[in-house]
Amino acid sequence: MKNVYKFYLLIISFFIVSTFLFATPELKQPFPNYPLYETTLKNGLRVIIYVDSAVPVVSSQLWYNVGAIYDLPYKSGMSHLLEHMDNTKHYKARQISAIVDSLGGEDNAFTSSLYVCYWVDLSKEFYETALKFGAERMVNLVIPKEKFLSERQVVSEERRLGENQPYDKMWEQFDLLFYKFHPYRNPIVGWMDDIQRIELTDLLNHYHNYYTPLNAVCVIAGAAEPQDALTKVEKYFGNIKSKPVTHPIFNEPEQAGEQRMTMSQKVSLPVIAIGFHTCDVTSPDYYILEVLEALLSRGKDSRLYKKAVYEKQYAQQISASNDLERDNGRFYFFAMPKQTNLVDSVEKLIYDELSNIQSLGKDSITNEEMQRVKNQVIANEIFGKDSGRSMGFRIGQQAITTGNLADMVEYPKRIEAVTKDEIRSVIGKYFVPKNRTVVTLLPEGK
Amino acid sequence: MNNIKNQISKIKMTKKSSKLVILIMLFISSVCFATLPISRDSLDIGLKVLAYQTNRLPLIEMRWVAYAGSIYDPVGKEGLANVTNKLLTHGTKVRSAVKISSDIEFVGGALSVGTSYDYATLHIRVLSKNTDLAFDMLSDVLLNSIFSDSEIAKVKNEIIGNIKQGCDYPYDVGWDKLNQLLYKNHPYGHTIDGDTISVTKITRKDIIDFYNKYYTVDNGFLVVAGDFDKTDLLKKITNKFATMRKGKPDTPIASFESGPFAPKSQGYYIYQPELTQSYVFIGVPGIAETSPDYFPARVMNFVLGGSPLTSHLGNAVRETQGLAYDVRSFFDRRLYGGAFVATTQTVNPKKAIGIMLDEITKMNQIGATQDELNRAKTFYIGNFPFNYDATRDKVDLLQNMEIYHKGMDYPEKFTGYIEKVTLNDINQAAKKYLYPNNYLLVIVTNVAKDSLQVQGIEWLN
Repeated sequence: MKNVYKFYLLIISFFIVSTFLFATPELKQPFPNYPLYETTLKNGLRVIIYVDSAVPVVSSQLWYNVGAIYDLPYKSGMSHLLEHMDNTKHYKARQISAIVDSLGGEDNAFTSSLYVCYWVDLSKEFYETALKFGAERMVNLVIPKEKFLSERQVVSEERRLGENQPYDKMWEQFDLLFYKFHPYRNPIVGWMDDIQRIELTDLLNHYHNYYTPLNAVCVIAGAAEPQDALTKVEKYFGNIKSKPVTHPIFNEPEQAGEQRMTMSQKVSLPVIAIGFHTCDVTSPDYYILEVLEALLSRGKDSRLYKKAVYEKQYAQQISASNDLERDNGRFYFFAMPKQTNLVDSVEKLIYDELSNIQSLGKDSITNEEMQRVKNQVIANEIFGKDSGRSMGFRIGQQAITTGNLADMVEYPKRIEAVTKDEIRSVIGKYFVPKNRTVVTLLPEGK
Repeated sequence: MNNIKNQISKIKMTKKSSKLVILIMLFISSVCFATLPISRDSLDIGLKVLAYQTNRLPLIEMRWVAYAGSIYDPVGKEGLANVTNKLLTHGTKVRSAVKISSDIEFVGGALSVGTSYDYATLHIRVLSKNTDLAFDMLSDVLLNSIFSDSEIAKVKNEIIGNIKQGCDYPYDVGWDKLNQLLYKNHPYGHTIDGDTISVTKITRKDIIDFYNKYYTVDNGFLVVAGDFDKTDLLKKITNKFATMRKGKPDTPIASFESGPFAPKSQGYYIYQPELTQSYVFIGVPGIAETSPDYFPARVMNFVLGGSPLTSHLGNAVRETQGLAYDVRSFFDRRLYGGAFVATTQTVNPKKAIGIMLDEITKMNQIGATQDELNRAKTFYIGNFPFNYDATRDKVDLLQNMEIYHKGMDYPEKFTGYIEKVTLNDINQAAKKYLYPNNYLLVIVTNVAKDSLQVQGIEWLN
């Protein structure tokens, strides 16, 4: 009888202890009719679960709020080099990838200016393994000296891959000219000299400073049951202690006047890149610039393609891009004129088109154009949900870049609200010569 | 290569891990494969329709696939298949090129074309509420294109620009040269775009003749995936494509046989002093996608270089030596015979080539281990659901099943195909399809030829 009593006591104790140990915070569904669930663990790890059960796979992604802009001065490429390291206390180099292979999964990682993302896609039966690996990397990363040296060589080769692409050098020079202060001016992979300057201790410090639950977002997208997914996350990450993280703030000083550079290189066709400083991604202007980008260059029916590529045939290709950047955003144009003597014409055509849109004349924005852009946004919203991995990427990027998922969920509504007057107004505000950087790349000897 | 005998004694199967892998394999194969909601219908109008029905999202994607790839280009008119395909979206009897773009883009949809060696495609994507527009558009561009002189000039001009631009990319330069030398006189040997001279020579008559010959109801098929009612779908297709021209072109393509590239390994050297690393390609004639050895060869390649980080090549070139960011090998996917290619980009080509050849030799002479085979098998079986994740993936899956004669029961049988592959099968495939002494090396490099010191190679230039 005593033994039975002890047994029940043990069972009750177990439940009390496990309730304490595995107590999971409440999941919230912040947006009605949107299968997205969210909570934050006690240690600060933000957990976001997006449910799409159409295909029996789950993308498990761990995002860290530390990208290339956090690299130490003269050691650009640190965040990216650290992303390459995968030895841990319990797994040798590439052992995690080998296990993911053997489960039929796919894994990889990427670094941007603002974040690092590690992702593993597995069938829904096995995705817990990805969480286990994510937690292992968060607390138990080790970097053997030999591995550090060989991976630094691998990254040097990765940088050379870029160097041998025809326009990479031009973009690096463009960024240097465009940003005088902000670390956006450095390449994510790092300058070659900087890569060689990075020491093992730099990476270990970087890891200890930033790889902590408080500075991470765990995104689970796919055929996962939300409560079960949270339990699994809690199981592997719940007991990891957090450390405070300091995030640097960078503010690019106002540009003093137009900046121009002409380069020459062995390329077949000339290129022109034109950039304008804009706003932080949280500014309401961001959505207005999104509409402007679509008017100018989304699809063959857009203004720049139709005029520069199709009608006048000045350019082989042309595009406009509104960058999703924190602190100091930019809007830029990229065009490939068919001949060197058409570079000026293409540049003028871009400015003329901005003037046309800004004007109230016959070439100003039509209702049909506005409707097209809005229809495209609504359609893209649906197309974007067509894969768990890509939905996870959108969510993770938003969670790190602005922190507010409403910016993603309410994106179509905000685009819908943009007016023609607002578009005219942002052109006047940002697209002025003083705020402009122009880099031209001409074919050598032509 | 001297270490091969030592390597044999080192290869031992880890009993514990292989048991675990077998358990994983059994589990994966029991959970992954439900019957997919796919169908293949031959309509009274002669059109074959492959469909994948899903209500995951309110969207639909359709793709017309014609056996009208670049292998059908006439000699001297290389690039004709590509020019013809591109022109389909450049004006019909009822829509101008601009109208085609504006109609589809106004509803947030997209219409795109693509030409490969074996086939050409027209792909359309819309929200399912715009299905009627998609059918109207697809049938219009397919049946009513007018190939006006002005649009022909624009398209040719654009392609010539692309060809010029391609010369700026060292990978493309090497890849094109490898194809040209490896496939010799076979139509796989010329680029899909053609060259600036052959494209310039293409006339409106060439285009119309090509279109009339290859864009027929009997020379292609339609793939549809997404949210639709099947009965309604087939009715719409029948209505829209009823007048499509019939006929099957009689243009047989010779098989490109696997085997050694030459009695002795040969090399082609392209010097580009401005580069900061070398682009290395090692190739031999490989296998057709329809070969009975397809699965053993593919599984063998996964172990050798299919998995960039964990394969033999990845481990030896990247992980151990830090010589490259990317190193891999693959069997090029073609209908009438392909190539086996191993490739990397490195600042130290001499060392990297030596290691790659060493690994290819080891695979050819020693083969893989049971553990490696098991891991490759569980990868392919477990990875199969990723082949039908996004709607476009579903279209790709059905397209490839049809093009490469895999049959509609392919998704169900896939596990069996992989499970059946034995260690002996993959090691035989390594002996049959890897030729470490009879390969073609193409290198685009900033390193002097003499410094490369590739053993046993005869330079072609």
